[in-house]
Amino acid sequence: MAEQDKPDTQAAPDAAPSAAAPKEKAKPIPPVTLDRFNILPGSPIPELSTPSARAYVAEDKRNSERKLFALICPPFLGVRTGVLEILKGANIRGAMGLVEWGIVSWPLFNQRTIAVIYERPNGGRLLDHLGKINQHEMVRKIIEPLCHGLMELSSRGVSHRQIRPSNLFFMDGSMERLVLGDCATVPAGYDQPILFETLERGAAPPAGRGAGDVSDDMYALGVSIMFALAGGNPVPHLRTDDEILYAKMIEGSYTTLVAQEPIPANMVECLRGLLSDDEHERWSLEQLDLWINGRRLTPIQKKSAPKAKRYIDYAGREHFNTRTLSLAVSRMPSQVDRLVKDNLLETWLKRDLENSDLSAAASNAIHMAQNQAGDKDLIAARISIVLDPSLPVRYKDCWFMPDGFGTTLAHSILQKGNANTPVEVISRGLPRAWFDAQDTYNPVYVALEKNFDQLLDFVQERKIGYGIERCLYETNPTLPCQSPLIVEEYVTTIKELMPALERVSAKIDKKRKPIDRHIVAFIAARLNQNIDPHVKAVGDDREEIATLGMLSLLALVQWRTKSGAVLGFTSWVGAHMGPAIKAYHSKSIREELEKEVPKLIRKGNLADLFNLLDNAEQRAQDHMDFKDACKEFEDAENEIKDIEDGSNTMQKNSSRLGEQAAAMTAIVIALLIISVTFLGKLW
Amino acid sequence: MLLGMMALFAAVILMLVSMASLVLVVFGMLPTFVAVLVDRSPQRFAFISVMAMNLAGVFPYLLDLWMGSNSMSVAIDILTDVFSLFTMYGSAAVGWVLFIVTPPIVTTVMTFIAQRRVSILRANQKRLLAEWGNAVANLEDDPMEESEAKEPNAPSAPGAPKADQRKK
Repeated sequence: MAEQDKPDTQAAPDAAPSAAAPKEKAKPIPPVTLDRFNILPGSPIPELSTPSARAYVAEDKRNSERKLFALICPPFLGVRTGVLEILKGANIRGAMGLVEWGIVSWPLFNQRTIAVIYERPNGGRLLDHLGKINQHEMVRKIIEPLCHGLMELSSRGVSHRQIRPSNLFFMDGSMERLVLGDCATVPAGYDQPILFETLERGAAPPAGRGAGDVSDDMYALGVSIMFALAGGNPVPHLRTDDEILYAKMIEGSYTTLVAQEPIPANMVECLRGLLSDDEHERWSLEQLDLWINGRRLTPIQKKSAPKAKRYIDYAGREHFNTRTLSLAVSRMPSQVDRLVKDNLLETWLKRDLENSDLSAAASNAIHMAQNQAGDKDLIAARISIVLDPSLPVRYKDCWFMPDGFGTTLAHSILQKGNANTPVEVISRGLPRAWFDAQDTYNPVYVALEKNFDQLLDFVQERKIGYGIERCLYETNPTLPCQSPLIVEEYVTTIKELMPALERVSAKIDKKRKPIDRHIVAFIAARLNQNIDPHVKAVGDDREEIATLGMLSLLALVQWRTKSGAVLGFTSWVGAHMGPAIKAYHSKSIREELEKEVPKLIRKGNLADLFNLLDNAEQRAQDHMDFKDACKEFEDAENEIKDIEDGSNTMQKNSSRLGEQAAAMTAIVIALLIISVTFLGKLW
Repeated sequence: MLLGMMALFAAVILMLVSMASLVLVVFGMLPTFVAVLVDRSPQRFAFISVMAMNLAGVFPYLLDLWMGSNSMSVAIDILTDVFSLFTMYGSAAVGWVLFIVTPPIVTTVMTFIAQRRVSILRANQKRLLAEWGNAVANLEDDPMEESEAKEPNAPSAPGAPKADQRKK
């Protein structure tokens, strides 16, 4: 799991990738401009960097006194552009001021990516001041500003999902104004150490944690407060993610985090509320606000997971509850046969855990998996879902919360280079099994379930415009188009597509096709209208239909996005119109079109080109004329064949005809002579 | 058989009307009788050709007989005159020549007409190939045939912008 790669990130300052550092020192790199701001690629700020996004010095060209810094988003992750748009210029008191964001050509990546400019904090990270804040000032200096910040975000429909001491900053040197750090440069929860994630989302790798909501922020806030109280990591003895997870599962989050530390009595109630493992019981922002204002609430009592009378042994560990067993089954699917054999699992659930319903559900899941394919991975996945439906969907190495499937898929495609496991997850119906196993109604799940049904349709249709690429863009609305043609252009919205293709057309080999599976899938996912007829035409096996489909699709995009004339790109597309022109039968029409196409290319309008090549009236006339010509050719061929085949017959016929003609001629001549002679005698 | 009956009937009539005419016809039209025997074809075109031309050669002398004294001596005079015999038998020979020469001429003309027609048709085909390509001769698959059968609107998928729409 990814979080295992960075076990100390909860304690250590965030470290950004440093591959580009030597290059930066080697030669000065000119500043990158974003609107009125300059970003200095040669001036990184490690202390403000996040695990995924590096920080650089930024300058306001109109106000050089202003302290700013820029975070450069990794181009391979979906940036929360919706959140960026909401936070830009919002001036939220408890959050770091987001001044500007936009796409820049970043020289260190050699491609375009998103840069986010923030007000630069002067007081450093909370992480650097842990233990220096008096416990009595904890509420005023930490909890209250963060609560207000989260309330403001919540009122704008935003969850932060990156709350941790290394991402909380003091804007002033006197440590009076604590603010929430960046939350938009990576997918929600992506940079969070497992300790700061709830039990459910923490079980998933960073890419699969999902968008989450404010309740996840409350939990992360609770853990951050615990860090502040403990002056550092309260559970340094839990070194691995699995140890943290199992500890939380067995003891509960509150007991795991708090048990080792003496905490002030007034904080117990707050921490119990925030660190509750039950999402419905966890404190909301309003409850926290009430507590800050002095109202005392009933402390939440610790609720343990139902414990079995006797343990069940799995993968060398004794399990007394279904949670740990569920996790263990997912981790070690190779040993799932032991549970299935002799109905061991069903018997344990029924007799030792005294849960007949769960036993029946497990039995049902096992039978379904055996009927479906019967392999251990599938059986383990279905069993683990039934044993603990709140944990992520877990199949092979693909673990995700349903709202985090998009990031998981993107991670799989862009990091591993294939999406075999996520595709198997969808085609084997595991998301549906997960939704079916949920015992509480959640309207979000209804929408998500529908999305997964749609993804199944896309996965089953493998033609261009569908398949896994379509799933990628449907589930990652902010992911840039990954087509090799334009990946460096960082195209995240449909409006940016035409200008990017125009830029690319200036430097690309025109023999390459102007679209590919990624571009078509990107258009289909981002253009908010049903364009299935276009997409199906692009994927048609007949080359001329596919060419016209491509042209109509691109013309539609140009028209819908009001991209204006794209001369270079039209020229590029025009170079691939051969099959569409060849679709006309008449050579004179083709020659005429070949003359017209360059003229339209110079106008840069794909719709004109499309209208020229797809003139329905002309095409119908061409087709009719062609049919007539075919008939004429066939008739001529038949007649020639008749003449050639009948040459012997004709010889015979002509001979007989000649004899007949001779007889007739003789009769005529004779009659003439007789008549003339007779008349001559009479006169 | 019918021909024989007709000839016998004509001979009987002539014998009753004019014995001299019968003698002239019998000797003057000897080539015709030969032709009847030689030509065994169902249509008997050779016989008809020879008979017609032979009759044309005999008729002037027959007319002389009828317009003159119509006696046996005149008939014998005619039959013994070399020039008149040459005329009668020569005309019959012309009939034979006609019968022999005409069929090859007709065959040659008809072959020429057929070849001319073939070259015209070939030229037409060449023109069609030049305009429509090999597909017109069904040497290639006709792509439009398939496209119309399967998906008539595929290339011009609905929703695509048209020039007039954009102008609006």
